Amino acid sequence: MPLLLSQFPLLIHIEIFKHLEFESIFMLSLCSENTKRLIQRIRLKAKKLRYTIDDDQISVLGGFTDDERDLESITTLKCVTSISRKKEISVKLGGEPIKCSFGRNSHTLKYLEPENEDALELLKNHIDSLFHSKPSIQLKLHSPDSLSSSDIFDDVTDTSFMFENLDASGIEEHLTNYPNHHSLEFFSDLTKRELKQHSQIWEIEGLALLGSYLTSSRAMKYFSGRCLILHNAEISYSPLIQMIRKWQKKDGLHNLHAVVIHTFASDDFVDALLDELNALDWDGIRRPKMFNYDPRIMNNSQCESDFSDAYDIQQEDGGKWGSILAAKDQIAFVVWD
Amino acid sequence: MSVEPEVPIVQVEEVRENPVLYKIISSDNHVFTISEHAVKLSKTLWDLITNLGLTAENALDNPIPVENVNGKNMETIVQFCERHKYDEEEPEYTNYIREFVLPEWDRQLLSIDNEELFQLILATNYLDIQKLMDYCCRVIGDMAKDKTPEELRIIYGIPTDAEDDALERSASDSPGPSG
Repeated sequence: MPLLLSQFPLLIHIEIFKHLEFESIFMLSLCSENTKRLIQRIRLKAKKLRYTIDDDQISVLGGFTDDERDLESITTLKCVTSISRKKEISVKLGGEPIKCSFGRNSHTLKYLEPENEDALELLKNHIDSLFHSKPSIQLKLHSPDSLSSSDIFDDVTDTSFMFENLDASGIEEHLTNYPNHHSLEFFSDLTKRELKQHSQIWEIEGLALLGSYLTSSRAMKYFSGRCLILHNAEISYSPLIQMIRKWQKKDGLHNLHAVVIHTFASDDFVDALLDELNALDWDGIRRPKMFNYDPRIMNNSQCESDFSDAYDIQQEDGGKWGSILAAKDQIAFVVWD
Repeated sequence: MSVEPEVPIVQVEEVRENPVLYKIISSDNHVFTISEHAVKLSKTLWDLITNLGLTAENALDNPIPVENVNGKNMETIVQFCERHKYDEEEPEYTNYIREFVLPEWDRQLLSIDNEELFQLILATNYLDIQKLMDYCCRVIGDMAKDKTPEELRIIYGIPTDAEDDALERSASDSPGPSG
């Protein structure tokens, strides 16, 4: 005998749904319009939704908190060229019936592209209808086509560009369409892109360049946001000094939290940097030992870092303290609140 | 049926440390004894005890009738409360509730058929025992893991849209009480 879920009172439904995984809630929403309405009555409140869009697949993660670690899968849609008649079922996605199938022990919904060209929009509408809150939308784009198809969202706060052939105008257009961006992450090397001094990317609160290479110097020169992460950086001495000096003299970077540069830094480089900035040994008093690193950039988790071996510098006129922590493969400059 | 639950060892210790015991009568007139620490897990029962002014002296002479819960469910509830009466409070973490794993003892206690589980959840809701509610709901949540819509329809008895429409039509076609 089945457990008659719909016959519980609303308060018990609320308790039950606290224990359902996002994937199960999504699957329930496909069972019937009545079940979807039941979910809507629960008034689920997600903090964020992350759409990973590839040419033939869309995955969605959701989180009840801002914490990166709390994200869990909601669903995956995969475009296929054929569906076995035996496995074919019809579900309503975003109010439209679509023919699809599900793999064994898998939450992947397989659909036929010719009949469902608007799968992303249907999925977006469907997921929007399940949440009472207006979660922030994050995009992880894996191809130029995924960038152009992403214009269906009302607002986007974070984007990760995971493909190589990305042009500067595409980035600027995306940022113009979605001006409320909190963070950007670039997988590709931006060296040859025509990112101007006044490009909107430098004003983003959180910026992570996974292949920063020669762009590192420009990033340090123009970045005015809160957190900058540079991987594979080709770092030169003067842009880093100038960046820290700008913060120290309060000429910019008023909101700076951290700059993390993943690069090889020789002992001579680090010694020269600390000398130039007149950095002080930590006295154990002026600031805490542990730094609460909170990058607020997609795919970058917050953590506590030990800064007992870091060197300190202070802003002019008795302003904030900042610390430089140098290791063989990484230089971090952080600001204490 | 005499539904006097087995007295676990912890209850013996409880009697030694804290001799306050209460009597509860289920809707089908079965009598249960429950310790003070255990009964506090039920907000409804504890409020009732407080409002009735029951004390160590008069508690056993004044059994509490619970008309919405039958003996079978009450037995499970008393066992659960006695088992968990000394538990520490759960951490205040949003996702904790979704991540915790049901202990084996409780999984066995709640290995009952769906109709019984349905009734137990209603009883738990009435008696306001949050921990047992969480555990029952976890059992329901686990049923849904890795299931497709078709499988969920079977597990939770969910009609299709067509079946819902047919039910609605037949309900509106059927004559009312006046014929």
